[in-house]
Amino acid sequence: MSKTAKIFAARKILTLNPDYPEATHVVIKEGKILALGSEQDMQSWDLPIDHQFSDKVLMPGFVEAHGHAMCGETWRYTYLGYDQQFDPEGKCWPGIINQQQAIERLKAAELLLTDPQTPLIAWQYDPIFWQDQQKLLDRWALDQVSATRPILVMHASGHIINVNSALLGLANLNETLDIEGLMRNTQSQLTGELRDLASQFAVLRATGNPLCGEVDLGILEQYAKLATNVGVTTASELYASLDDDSMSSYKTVSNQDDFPLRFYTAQNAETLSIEQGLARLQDAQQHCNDKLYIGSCKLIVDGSIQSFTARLEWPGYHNGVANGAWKQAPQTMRQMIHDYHKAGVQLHIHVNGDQAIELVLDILEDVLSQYPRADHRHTLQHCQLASEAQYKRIAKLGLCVNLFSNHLYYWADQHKALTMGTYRVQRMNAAASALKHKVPLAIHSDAPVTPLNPLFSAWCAVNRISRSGVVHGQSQQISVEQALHALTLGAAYTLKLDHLIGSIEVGKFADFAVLDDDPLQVDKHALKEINVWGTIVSGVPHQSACRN
Amino acid sequence: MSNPLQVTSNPEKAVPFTVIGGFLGAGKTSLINHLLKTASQRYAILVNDFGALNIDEKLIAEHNGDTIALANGCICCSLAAGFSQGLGLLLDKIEQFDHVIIEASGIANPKRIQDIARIEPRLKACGNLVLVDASALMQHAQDPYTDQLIHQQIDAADMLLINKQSLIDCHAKHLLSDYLAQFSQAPQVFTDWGHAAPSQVLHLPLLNRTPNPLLEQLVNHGLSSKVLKSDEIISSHKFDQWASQLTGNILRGKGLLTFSDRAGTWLWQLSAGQSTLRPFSDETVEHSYALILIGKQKALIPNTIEL
Repeated sequence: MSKTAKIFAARKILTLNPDYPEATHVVIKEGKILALGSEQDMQSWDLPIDHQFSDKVLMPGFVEAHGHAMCGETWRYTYLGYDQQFDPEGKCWPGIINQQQAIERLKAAELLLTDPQTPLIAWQYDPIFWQDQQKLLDRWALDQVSATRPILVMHASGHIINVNSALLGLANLNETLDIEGLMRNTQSQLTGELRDLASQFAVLRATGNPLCGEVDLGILEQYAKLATNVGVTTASELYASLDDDSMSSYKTVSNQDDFPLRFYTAQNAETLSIEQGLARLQDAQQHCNDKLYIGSCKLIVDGSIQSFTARLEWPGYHNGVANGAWKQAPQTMRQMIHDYHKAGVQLHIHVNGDQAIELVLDILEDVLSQYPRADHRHTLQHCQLASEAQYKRIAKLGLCVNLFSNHLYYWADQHKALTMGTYRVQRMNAAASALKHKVPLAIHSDAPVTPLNPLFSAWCAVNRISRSGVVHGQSQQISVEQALHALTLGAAYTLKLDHLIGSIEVGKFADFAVLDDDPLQVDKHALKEINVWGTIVSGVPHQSACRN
Repeated sequence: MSNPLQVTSNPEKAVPFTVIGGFLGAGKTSLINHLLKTASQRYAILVNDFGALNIDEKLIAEHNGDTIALANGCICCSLAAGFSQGLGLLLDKIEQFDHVIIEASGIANPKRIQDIARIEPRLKACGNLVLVDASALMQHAQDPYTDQLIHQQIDAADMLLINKQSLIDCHAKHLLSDYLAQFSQAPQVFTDWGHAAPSQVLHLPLLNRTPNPLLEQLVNHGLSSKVLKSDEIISSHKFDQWASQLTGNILRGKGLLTFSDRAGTWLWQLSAGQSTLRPFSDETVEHSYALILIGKQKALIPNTIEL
């Protein structure tokens, strides 16, 4: 927190505060906003003016209302994604588009490992975009990187793993096994691709369970760096285990005075009984502070559309594959929603497919008529396929939505070809419908599923342009103002933090995103090109590592 | 990071591994309570939730977070920290146990869990015991929200333990048994309160599974079934006529009938378009017929034997 009161001068301050939409100066005291206005307005304050941002545009710090701390862990491992990404230190990793590039990058990473037992782990491998489908990362390709060191490559979907021969051996996977998901080539040899629970369990265990979502101090620090690099000042872990180890890490970072990020956690309620879940939540809540917010729960209803595990209504998947899978039995979901709601807990409910949405709306309709609660702010997370009729129900039930607009860039072409077809893809992540029905709207990245970057998410919701350059669903495009709102005040609202963050108002935390350009002035296609200088959190500036 | 697995294959030392599957309310927890109460071996049981377990306080030697150790050498581990972690911790001390029992979640496919034992040399796959709630199965199997997962569980069974049998009458038992047999070759055992002898259910021969076209139809395109029951006594001639005109919509049919023109009870089966009728017993069933029909579209499955 900035101890001394001072004034920041900027080229422009976009406040997201309808009473005072634009300013050039903001007065900071005790880490909070004391006043805002023009240069003239500042004459009444006998305070020093900090001019370091006088050529910058300030906005409320961005709020990532559905991310995961795991994005901090991923950079411990080798990046193999198709698109370029920046690591926490600001280093740009170009996208990997073929086998040769992947092998070269893995070889370089292998050279840095000193202990020959240490597994080489890589992530975000996305072969569906590779042109040469004959040359993928099968075991023989990975064996070129090392014949002795175990190598594990996680796909971008998180559902498939590729390994080399050394790891197959270490995990006791061999040709004599006839089990599901152990993929083979036409000569019946194992390819090293593992698609199911049992084989994945074996290789993950043999490599020390990487990327399983546990949190430690280093992971949270890396998450904070990634956030600072893109202007995020509050970020969430929307699948938090609030066990003692995780809590100790959260407590440590949130009590550091100059830590550049506020954390919001929603407890993963899946593996705990409701009784245990409520007890753990209550314990954890005692440790809330200005940089740590605990109290809600996350429930997962179905899977994901790109993995064909989302639950769909008729006519189902465009390519005719079987309907997806529930993460909990519908009856169990009913019980969980009922009990957590009754206990006063706010719920973040993962629903992708329209059938999953329908189930949850049916349940909430019953539960809310039985136990009405003012301002519950239960939020449908992802909610990618809600129909117009469902949006009307969402509005009537007082729910919020947090849409996964980044999908429109990364996978809309695949959704059109495989999962949804030409018509339904136009309605995916229907932000305009949400606004039309006055449903509180947030937009998210689900980092590390897609990279943390609010200006990019805004660009997706505004333009709805896919990787191939096609616009999918013009009628669901929203304005730049609406998108910026969804990534600041809108996101904060779904976290019940809009009284503290999300706009530049007197009394709120002095949290800002510091930008080189004004998002309202640039061409809407250039939103994602705006450079981020960094952030200010509680009045303290933090420069993006990408600037060094 | 934990130590990598050691490759020390010694099949003699492999610990038997059983998965208990079945939908909500099928009686998995009752069975586990029963097994714990009658344990003569050191079981390591992985459960979703301790809450429902009915462990006598006097039997508990130690209750430590996610693990309850019993005086008889058994332990129960909760899967609160996640399946992989729970099972991983157990494997680290596997030599302390005679049998590993996994309570699959109500929506899990037990087949996928059983595969773990087929990979891990220190475990021996001893089958999937799938529990079925006799009173609710037909309803869950018809619910479009749960039909897929119910049938995948049935398909995964090496034995079907049909629990809560006393809630249904003997005709319903026949129909249920016939229905399950369409989806699974597994032996069927009827019981109440999850009472089953460990020797009967914990060492199951693994079934050789061939793709089941009926299951594929259900998973990919949906499937419906109807029970036809009536006291009306019909002639075998009328029935033959009816059965011969069943269209391609009906994939399977099975059931018992009595006729006005023939003595005894007859077993009817329809499979691959072939309708067969053969003597079942000399006794006469209460209903003059009780059949189950499985078809693609519910609306096109007849409700009665009418021409």
